Amino acid sequence: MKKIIVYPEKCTGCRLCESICSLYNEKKNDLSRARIRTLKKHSLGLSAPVVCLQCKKPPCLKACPVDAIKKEPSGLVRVDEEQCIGCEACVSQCPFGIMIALPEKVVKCELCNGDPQCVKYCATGAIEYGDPGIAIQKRRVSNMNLFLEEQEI
Amino acid sequence: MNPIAFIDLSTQTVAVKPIPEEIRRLFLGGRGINMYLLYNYLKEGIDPLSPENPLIFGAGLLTGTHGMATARFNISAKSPESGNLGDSNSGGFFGPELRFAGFDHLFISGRSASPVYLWIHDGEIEFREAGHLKAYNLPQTLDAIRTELGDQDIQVASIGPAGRRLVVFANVMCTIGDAAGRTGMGTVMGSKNLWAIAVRGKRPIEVVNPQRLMEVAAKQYRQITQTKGYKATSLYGTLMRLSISRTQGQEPAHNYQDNMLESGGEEFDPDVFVQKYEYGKMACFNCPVHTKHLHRVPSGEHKGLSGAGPEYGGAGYFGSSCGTGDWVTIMECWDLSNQYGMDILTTAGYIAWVMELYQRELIDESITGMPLRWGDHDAMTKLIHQMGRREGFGGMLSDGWQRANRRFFGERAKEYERYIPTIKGMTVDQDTRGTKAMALGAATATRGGGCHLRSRFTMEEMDLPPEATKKFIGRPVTSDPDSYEGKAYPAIWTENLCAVGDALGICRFVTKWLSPGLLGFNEFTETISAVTGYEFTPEKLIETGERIYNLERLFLIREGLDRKDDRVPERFHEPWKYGFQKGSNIEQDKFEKLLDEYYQEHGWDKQGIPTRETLERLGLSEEPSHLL
Repeated sequence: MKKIIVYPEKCTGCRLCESICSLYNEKKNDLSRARIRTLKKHSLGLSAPVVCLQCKKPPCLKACPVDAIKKEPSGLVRVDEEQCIGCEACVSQCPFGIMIALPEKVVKCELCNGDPQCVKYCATGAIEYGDPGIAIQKRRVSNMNLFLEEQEI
Repeated sequence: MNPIAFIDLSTQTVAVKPIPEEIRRLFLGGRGINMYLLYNYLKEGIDPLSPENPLIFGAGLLTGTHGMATARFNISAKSPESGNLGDSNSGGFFGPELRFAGFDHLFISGRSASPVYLWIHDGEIEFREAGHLKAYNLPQTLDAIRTELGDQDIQVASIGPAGRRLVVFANVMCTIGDAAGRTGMGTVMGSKNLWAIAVRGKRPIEVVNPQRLMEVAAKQYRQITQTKGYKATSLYGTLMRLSISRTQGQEPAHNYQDNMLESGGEEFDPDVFVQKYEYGKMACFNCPVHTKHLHRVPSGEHKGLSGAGPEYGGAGYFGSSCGTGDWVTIMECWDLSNQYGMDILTTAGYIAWVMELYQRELIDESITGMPLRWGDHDAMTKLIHQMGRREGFGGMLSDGWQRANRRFFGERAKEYERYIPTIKGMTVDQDTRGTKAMALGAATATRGGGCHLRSRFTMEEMDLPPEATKKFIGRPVTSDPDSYEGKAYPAIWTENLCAVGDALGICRFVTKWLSPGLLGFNEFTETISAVTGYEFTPEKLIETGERIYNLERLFLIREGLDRKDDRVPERFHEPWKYGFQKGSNIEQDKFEKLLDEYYQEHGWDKQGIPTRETLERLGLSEEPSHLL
């Protein structure tokens, strides 16, 4: 399936992804509502985006006592707002800390119905929407080129 | 919209007041409302380091919103560095987080009996002990407060050791690479025993039309990232200026004695910096341009030296101005200044000044304690340590050039002032001899220092035909940068763009200040409308810029400044020695005529004082009005 692929080394930490996420999904200018987050190592000035990886075996889904979290045939992991009781059991189970507990509900990245807004605002390509298989292939090629460069071939 | 907090450090009390819509519509926010507060509340003639000097923090009207590059906030007070208008702007994430924490402006008065920092979160303001932070330098302080409060998403604006020791050009930093540097706002913080402000919040910024804001932002994002210059801007950041200055002969070399640095060599080039020393890039809030560099020295004697920057201010002033093109020297001086929390431009300006005095044998080792040869790495770093610690010869500079100059030359001090290029008491930050609209903007800049952030008509050096400038700014301007002809209007147009940009919290680097293809008044009106529902026309917005600038002018006049202070440094009357604009200088008689034209265009009298009609037209005739 297509996912948001993260290249942390390209992130400049501008938080435009968070800003558009909250505005698009919550209609609010409130970064605490964003489903994508930028982690910061302030002393080095470095940042990295964190977003739901749409796990094959989602710990959040397993943790949900009322089966409000579902994996769709496409692979997308979704929270059913109607069924969710807001217990936040999933929040503590997510190994990436990217289930977002809001005062009134729990939300997660659901890829904006196949058109993730955040990637449109990433000027450096630190987040991309695509097939991880192809992304990995690209990485192999670039590693190969790097190797060749080092060998001065 | 968020209220303002009036914080009295003497009594540790807070009063929260809404900002009347009338004030919002007249001054927007950020620098605009800061100036309104400063003009209304600052008593004439007070000592900048007295508890009566208000210290005002203000986030822009659009700061923290989904508009592009809406990161910025202003800190304003009476300046201990210049004795005049103090105002400094910073990017990063502090401004947005201040708004998420529930406040748009902070008006801080009084003086705390012991060191404190403010912890502002979700509408609450706490006073906390700060004495234990004494052990830390500036970047360490930022981290220490985050760790102490237990949240890495907290944003902190802090002073460093220099601010705590009242070095008059101390800055306020809010990340390792973002500073409100000029005019000594960190010194004012230090004088109040206020060592830092930490902010964090989960309060949304009200947006009246989210759908419209998304459309406007998408359009502006494309506009910014598809401009021809975007690639270079995002790669080199402000260091772009270095290549231009070096090839065109606009370097402030040897304290502006030369306009090209001979000893720089090919190594002194942004490409070399990027390839050899850059390990990453850092952006401000909501900005696709990400101009800030992160550097690390990979090998050699200074291996491991690391930090954010340098910006052009470092390369041009620790570099060219101090007579060196050595990146390692520039980076080390840059990092040290940041660690002490001292303004880069003033620190470097003072070093270049004393190096020239040493070159001319006006001061010698009996007073300096060391040789001060141009570009001497050890002398430069030692001077910075001394300034930051108030020790030795460097410590003589910590109270500002005026006092140091008097200590060097006693009764004859006045005649030696020509060796330190200043405007309105601040060291200048650009050589504008060959660009007359910029020279005018620099001479009249309300915060002094020839400030390129108050008025710098960048299009002047782009060789644009008059039809093109007419399209961009409303009047044709000659493509000859050396001509005085019609240069008052573009200087004023740029002032207004800068004033409005600061009142909105938008960075210069995404506006027409940098390049005509970027955002301008038209785009600003669209974002303002989507966020606040206020309907401005570009003309109304330009008038708002004028209002802010005129209020700053009133401030200066009240403090005793007038036409005599709207001048370029004496040195700028000497011709440039090198480059294709060799021979360019500022001719006093022509400049005076241009100044007349500028005053007239502004609606000011011959002394540069706004006339009654001008103040009435701008709604300033009742100031100070104390509506807030």
